[in-house]
Amino acid sequence: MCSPPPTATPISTQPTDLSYASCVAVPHRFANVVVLGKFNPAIFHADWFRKHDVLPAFEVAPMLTQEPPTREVIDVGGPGALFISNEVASLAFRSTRLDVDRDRFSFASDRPDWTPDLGGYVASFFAKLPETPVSALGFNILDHRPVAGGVNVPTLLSRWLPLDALAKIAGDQARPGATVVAAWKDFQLRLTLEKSIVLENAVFVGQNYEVKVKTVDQLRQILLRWPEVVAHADEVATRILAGPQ
Amino acid sequence: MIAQPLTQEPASAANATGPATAPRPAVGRNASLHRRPDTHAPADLLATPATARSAVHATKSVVEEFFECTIEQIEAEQLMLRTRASNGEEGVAWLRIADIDESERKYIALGVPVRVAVVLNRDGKTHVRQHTIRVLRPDQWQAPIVDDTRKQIAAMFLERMRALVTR
Repeated sequence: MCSPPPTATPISTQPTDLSYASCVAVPHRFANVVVLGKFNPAIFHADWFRKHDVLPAFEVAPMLTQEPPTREVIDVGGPGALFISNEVASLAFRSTRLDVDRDRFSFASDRPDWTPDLGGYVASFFAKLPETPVSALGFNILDHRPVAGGVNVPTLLSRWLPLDALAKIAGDQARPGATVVAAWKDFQLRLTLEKSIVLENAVFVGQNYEVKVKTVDQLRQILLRWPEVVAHADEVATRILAGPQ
Repeated sequence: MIAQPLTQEPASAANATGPATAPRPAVGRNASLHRRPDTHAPADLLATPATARSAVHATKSVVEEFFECTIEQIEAEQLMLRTRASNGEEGVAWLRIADIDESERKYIALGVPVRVAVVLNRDGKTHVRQHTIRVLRPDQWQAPIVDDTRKQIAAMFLERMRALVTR
């Protein structure tokens, strides 16, 4: 039986143990913020983040230990990996990842403690780049959510997607899925529902929220609405798991 | 997965083309959450327990728990935080300022969001539990603009001011 952690004690000395941790219902989520526009990937070296202090020092530190820090393939792999050129920049921070090419900027994480703040971080990056030409902003929230309550994935999906006849035409072992495009507030929402192929007895709920932007000021205002979008994405995924009413 | 196949002709793919801001196939769709080329995640993940893993530390670190906090009180050596755990449970906690990385301390102020994560780092047979504490910068968050929340905050400050005056 899980018991919640004490909350009125100092966090720094709070006891934590694996028996509690194994009960934490943290969903498998990948999230990223994508901005389309015109970028110069070469400026996004680790020292730029240190100089502007837009990320915690411990997040950037693994890359600052590398020599030299720019325009070379130093490593492609774990934390501290970076690749920076005039055409593309890829930086693997400790908990997040940045990928920039000439027309696309992406800041991503699948750390549950970081994903709630991605929009704010990207807003602070662009506060240092006010003249950047931008054209569109996309929020991607991709969840693998276990199905509970005695329901299995095929049953849940068949209630949302009664596509048996279509699946038979397609062939054997068909795996039906659906994409719905809708308007939500200022955004165009593209919702994808499928069986997860990463987790057992789970569904994949992919949500892309896209909006056109013209200026960095406008971009930053919308980026600060990231928590609102995440809350909506949570609500959508929860309602999907509950099945059609 | 409904997405534009790479071999599909653009002229016939208008209905299947995803938005330009959608994650790229190699980055984050159904099949690829833990199979990105930049991670060392094992190929067989179906048996993975349902606790979160880091993209970067896929085989080494696990986020055991995390708290979304707001600074409610600042004292000489510690902060009082209102906390919300990942399971939604709310509470109050004290955090020693000495435990916060120096690069984060300059952003400490009343009402500022703080993030605390408990991360288990596995390195061979050694397991090390580590707290990471982030303080958001002023341009990384905005105060809630929901009317009800604003009223609650105003009422809280009014109550504190009255308490000070009548002390």
